[in-house]
This record gives sequence, C-alpha cells and structure tokens, in this order.
Amino acid sequence: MWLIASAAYAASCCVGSTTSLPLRVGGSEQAVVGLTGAAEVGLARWDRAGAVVGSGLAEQAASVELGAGLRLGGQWQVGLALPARFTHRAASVSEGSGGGVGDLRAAALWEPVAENVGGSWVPVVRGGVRVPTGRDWTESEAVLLQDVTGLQGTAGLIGVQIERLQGGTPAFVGLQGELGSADDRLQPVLSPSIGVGRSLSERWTVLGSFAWTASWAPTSATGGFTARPTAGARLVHGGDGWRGWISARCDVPVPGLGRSVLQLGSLGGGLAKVF
Amino acid sequence: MVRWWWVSCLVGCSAPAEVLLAPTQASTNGGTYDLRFEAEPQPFLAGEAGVFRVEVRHEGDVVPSAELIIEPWMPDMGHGLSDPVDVFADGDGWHQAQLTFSMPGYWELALAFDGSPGHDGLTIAYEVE
Repeated sequence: MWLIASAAYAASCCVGSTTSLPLRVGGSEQAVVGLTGAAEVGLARWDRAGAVVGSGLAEQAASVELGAGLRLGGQWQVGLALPARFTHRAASVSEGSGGGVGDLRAAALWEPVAENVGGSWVPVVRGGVRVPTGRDWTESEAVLLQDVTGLQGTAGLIGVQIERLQGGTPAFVGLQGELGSADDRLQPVLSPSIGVGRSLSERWTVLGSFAWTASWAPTSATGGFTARPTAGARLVHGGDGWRGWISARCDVPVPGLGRSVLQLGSLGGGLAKVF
Repeated sequence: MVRWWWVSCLVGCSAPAEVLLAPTQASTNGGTYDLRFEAEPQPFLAGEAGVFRVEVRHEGDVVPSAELIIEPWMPDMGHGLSDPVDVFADGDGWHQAQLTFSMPGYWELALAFDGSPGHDGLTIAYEVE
C-alpha cells in the first residue's frame, strides 16, 4: 500500500504512517505483513475531451494485495507488494472474466529526518522497481482484455513527499512517479497527491486523500495520455500488534479532471500483523 | 514487433497533423492510394464484432493486388487488440476486416498498404461506444 501505484492500480501510496497508512513500518516497529482486499465497479468514463459519459463497458473487479515492510535501520525500510486481480467485463454481446497475479513492486523508503513527537513536517523519499509479473495486454487471450493484470516492461519508481504523521492531525503532500518502457518507448506515470487525517483516539485514525494520476501511453507517433482523479477515505484501527482498516475510493466525476479512462469506485479493507 | 514497427514507420514517419475521424474517403500520407471506407455499425460498439471495409485505388484504378495490414491502437492507453486483424481482399479492390474493440473510447487504425504502386500508409480513427 505504501508502494507507488501504476495506472492499472492507481492509488496514492508511499504515504502515511503506522496509523493512517497501515503497511508502512512505524518508527518503533521492525516489520509489517498485511493483506488488503477491495471490490471495484465501473461507474462511467471520461472521454478524450474530458467529458463524463456513459460507458459501454461494464466492469466489476476484486483485488487482493499481499504486502510486507521491513525496517533496516533508523532511516531506511524496504517493502514488497504483490497484487492479484480478477475482473468481469461485459460490453454489448461480449462478456467474460479473467485475472491472476499482477506486477510485483519492491521499494526502499528513506526517512532522512526524524519527526518530532509533537508532529513536524519531514521529507520522505522512496525509490523502487515494478517487475512485470502480471499479464500485460499483449499476452491477453480475452476479447475485452479482462485477463490483463499488469503493465508491459519493468519500471522504476520514485516518490517524494513531506509529511507530518505524529500528533492528532496527520497529513502529507507528495509526488509519485513511475518510468517504464514498452516496445522501446518510454511510459511515464505522474501522480501528485495530498491527504489529511484525524486521530479519533489512541487506536482509531481516519484519513482522507486525493490523487491525480496521469499516465502517458508508450507510443510517440500517435500517443496520448489518461488522467484519473481519485478521492479516498480510510478508517484504521491499530494496537496489540495488529492493524485493521476499511477504505473507500472513488474517481471524482468532474469534467476535465479525467481523460480516456473508466471511472471507478471501490470498497475495501485489510489486516496487518506488526512486529 | 517487426510488423508493428513496419506499420508505424509507414504511418507515423509522415503522419498528418490531424487524424481523420470516421472518414468516408481519404488518400494515404504519400498520396499513392485513394481510399474509400465503410464501417458497420457506426459507431462501433465495444465487445461487438464490426465490419471495416476499404477500397484501394491508384490513379483511379482499383489495385486488387494491394496488401493491407491493419493495426488497431488505443493511443491514450497504449494498447491494441490482443489478436492480429485478419484482412480479406475480395478481388475488386475492396479489403474487409472484422474488428472487435475491447473497450469504448478513441481508437486509431494504422493502415499500411503494399502494392505495385508502392508502400504507403494512413491512420484513421473511430470513437467506440
């Protein structure tokens, strides 16, 4: 969850804390292992001009992600995330389901400045790699590409943000990026994000976030891009070596903010063991 | 991959500034061929097989021997169709292909022609619903 997302798994990541984003290894923790799940549905789509229009494609999907983080020292931690996705699509006379394991992501996180107990803004830097362990569109055997679970090629991941996770009002502002290639052409993804939360008690935290993700297609001659604005909310409960959470996300149906993508909504949750 | 490169070069190296949307007629980028198009249904529907037909002429005469390669491409998302498009020539200058687009949105068809008058190409587009 703290790993950066791709266009296929758009999310704001690399962000959060032990309470607001649950797969991040906290300052007094050594490791986290967790499983997240979500159910997703297509609501509409943005066309190429940014207008919100009805979609001729109906989509429902379920996804799970196994994630783990390990603290290497005071300033460093590493993590892995392996998603799986199962999609059902229907359009006109075609219908089908498919899925499987998605792309593996591995990253290292650097926290150069320790945050004050009272809460101070500190920088965080993340770098990593996305490995194409999923099935990309060239390997699809489905008419509606419902069995696609990953993107073409290996990609580098980079993220920077400033955050304040201690205190009663955790918050972050970040910029995530991904640079991969397909057919020897670059495929960049850029995603600025912002989030703010509130500690409801020692064990309960609620966090709202917004991310705008743009993904440029790997083609130079006739290339374009997609854009997706996503708002999310998460309620996290922590304590006694476990964290649990529920979350909701929805692409914001504002004309002009999105481009050439399905508009999605999802509900999910997860559970993590903290060491 | 080689096939895609060949089509990309023919179409992209001299690509026009504007890609024609659902044209009924056009000329290839180098002016070698004059084309007439038929598409059914219009608009194309995602997930439903549609028929795309193109007539190929050179200086007013049909070119029955011309070969045509069609590469569908969704430029905003960077993907095409998982299966190659089979093109059938009916012998009187018309070429026909069955297309099933995987999702709604803006799709481009990169057309590459190879015949005795020469190699040439053109990209056209359709909005799929």
